[in-house]
Amino acid sequence: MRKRIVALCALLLLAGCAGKKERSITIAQQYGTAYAPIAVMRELDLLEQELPDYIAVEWAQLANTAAIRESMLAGKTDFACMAIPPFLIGRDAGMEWRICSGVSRVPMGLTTSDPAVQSLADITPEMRIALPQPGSIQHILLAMAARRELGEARRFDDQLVTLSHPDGMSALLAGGEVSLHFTASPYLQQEQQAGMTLLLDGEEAMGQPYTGIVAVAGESLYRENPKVYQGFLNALEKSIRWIKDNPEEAAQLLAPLYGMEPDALLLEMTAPGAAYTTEVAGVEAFGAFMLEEGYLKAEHPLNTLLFPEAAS
Amino acid sequence: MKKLLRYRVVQRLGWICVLLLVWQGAVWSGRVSPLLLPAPRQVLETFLDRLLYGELAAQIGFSLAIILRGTGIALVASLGIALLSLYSKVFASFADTLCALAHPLPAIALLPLIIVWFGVGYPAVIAIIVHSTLWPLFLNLTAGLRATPRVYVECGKSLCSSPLWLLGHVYLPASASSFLAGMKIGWARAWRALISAEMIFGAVASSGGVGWFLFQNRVMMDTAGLFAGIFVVALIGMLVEELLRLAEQKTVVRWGVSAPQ
Amino acid sequence: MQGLRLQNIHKSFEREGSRHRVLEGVNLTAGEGETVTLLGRSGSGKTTLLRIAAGYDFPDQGAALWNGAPIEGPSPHRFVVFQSFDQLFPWRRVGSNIRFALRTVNPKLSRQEAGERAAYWLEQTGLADCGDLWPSQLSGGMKQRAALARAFALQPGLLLLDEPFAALDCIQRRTMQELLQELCARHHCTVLFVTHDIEEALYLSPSPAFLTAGGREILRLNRDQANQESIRRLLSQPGDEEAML
Repeated sequence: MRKRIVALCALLLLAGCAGKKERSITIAQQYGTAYAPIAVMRELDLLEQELPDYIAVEWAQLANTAAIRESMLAGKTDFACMAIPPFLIGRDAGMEWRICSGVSRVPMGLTTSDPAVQSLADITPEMRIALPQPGSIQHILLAMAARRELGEARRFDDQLVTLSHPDGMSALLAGGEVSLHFTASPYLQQEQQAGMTLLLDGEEAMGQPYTGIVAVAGESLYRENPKVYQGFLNALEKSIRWIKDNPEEAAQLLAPLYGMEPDALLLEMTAPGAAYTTEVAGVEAFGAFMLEEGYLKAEHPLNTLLFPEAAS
Repeated sequence: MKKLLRYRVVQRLGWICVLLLVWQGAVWSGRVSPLLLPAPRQVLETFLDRLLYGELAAQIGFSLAIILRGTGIALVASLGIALLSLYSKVFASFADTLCALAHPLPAIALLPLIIVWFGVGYPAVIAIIVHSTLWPLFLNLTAGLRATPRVYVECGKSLCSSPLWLLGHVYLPASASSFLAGMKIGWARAWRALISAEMIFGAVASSGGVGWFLFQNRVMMDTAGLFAGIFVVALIGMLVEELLRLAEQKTVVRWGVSAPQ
Repeated sequence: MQGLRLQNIHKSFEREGSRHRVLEGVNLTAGEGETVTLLGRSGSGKTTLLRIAAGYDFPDQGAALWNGAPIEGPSPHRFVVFQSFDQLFPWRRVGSNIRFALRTVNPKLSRQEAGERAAYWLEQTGLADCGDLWPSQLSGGMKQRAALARAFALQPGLLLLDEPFAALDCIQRRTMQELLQELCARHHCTVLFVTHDIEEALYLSPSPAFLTAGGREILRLNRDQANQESIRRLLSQPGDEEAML
């Protein structure tokens, strides 16, 4: 009798193991059209096609880059999509990760509800500036513009309010102490339609074009699972090409996801300043600025920040 | 009593040392990434550095000032509501209902409403602290006032006929144990709420408090700074709780009065 | 008329939905400087009568007068010592309780005078060393004596005592009784003294009062009736007390 029970247990255990794929991968991202290639990859099962036999894919949507970083640190995430400055902060703190590809460029900008504010110099210390969080790309772009125009990068660091894009927009439109919002598409366009003025454009702040969202992976994954790494890159490339070749279809596919009309989504995805590309631009410029202003502690040569495939 | 207190402090310190040793051991083992668990020494150095040369001292001062102010407002308000309830049955039933509705609501659940009503600045943080402390204080004060032994009230009435005198010299001292119990709960709730609010709202004027300090270290991935902030939060929380306990020792425990259950 | 005068006092309470009649038209007079001890079975309404004299409760019908004026509420001139052990404020030390009472009633009294009077009465009640203790540190009997010390120190015109010596041993009890008599003689203090102890009632008053069962009537015992035997008989025969005398 006892033998039978043991055998049964063993059988169950074996059955449990057999049902499981060899390894699962987790991809972490945030919400918005900047992450459209990831959404397409998911909707069209592109990654599953690349790695047909032994991969279960999990998609995690996290609230902010700090959470994405922490989940990567905990080993719960394999690939993550984020902006360049949060990636650099993690690398600087000692996280062993690198950029594997670009994902998208999105329009970003600083809007204001106060008609008296014509330039950064008009921002008074009482005004609050909403942005996703300190250390975000919006924060660094603001600091870059502040240094160029006012000679003081950290001028506004004490006036920041951490609010997600939609909350920041509500706060700006509500007309409280938040009178400026550094945000990205589509909130940027929505705010302008609601009568807010665009004070500063992202590329203007940076002084050059840059990649908004990059895909990041751990060095250990790259070393130990080159198949998975390459599979992800291929899927991403396919996804981006598909969006480029079939923009209307892409808009049709993704519209329900974002709760938008396909036409409006298409307009947003093809807006000037928006682009989906694997190319990575602006890493060195961000790195140099953040080092000079003390947002980073050490210098990181470009070849330690990018995987060889991305650098080429 | 002093012996007991010393004993408690020794106990606390002893266990903290044990935890520190375990921590240091984990670091020495080399199996934990310093991004997950920085060495105690590194945390201490970061803490001292931020305290002496950085903004930490100012942030602590800011947090304490704002919580004192919020708790002060809550104290006055709860006293007012409790007294009105003591003298008016109609108001008492209204206040009871209001409290039953509001007391179980965590301040964080009210956050969206608070942002709409008070914005994201100083008034919003004050509103969160007041909400967190007002109800437990009111509940305990009312319980204390209602449970004031009739003998004390009648003795008091024989000595002086002024209601205000009676309040100050009989009702309030007789409610001291309930009041302190309410303060303990209120403080615990307010401190947690404050830190959460600061982490969400960010800097008010040029200071954001300890919660903001924590959040900044998190987004900048400064794990040692994050640990230093967490220790400050825990330490202040513990210190104030000890102070309240000491206040209890000096008053209600000495008087031989325990809180009504 | 000087002194305490309770005329045709009626008092009933609401209890569990029904009216409960406690006193039904009783009369009691205590002249200035007189000590009236009040006997009666448990529940006959002795304490209610005392509370009416103190001004904590008001009669439904009838008049309660002190020195000819209606009693409209509590006053330091009609001070009560309750049965309860805990009637000193626990948040003040024993001595401070007495000084505080003195200075509340008479704000002109200097700190020093109040201190001296408190010390005197603590000594008289055998608590000379207890002034700096907290009430919670005293035994039941000591608490009771401290409450008496506070009442005596206030030198009220009317002392209302509700079984104040019940917790004391016989020696302390005798000391307190003598102290009470001395106080009354010195300050012309009127006393209404509720007790269960027949011997005590007879010792303190030549003609104790007896509240009949159901609070119907107060009998003042005359010289012939004021003895242990007849009081015991009264206590054992509820409802028929008048006929017995």
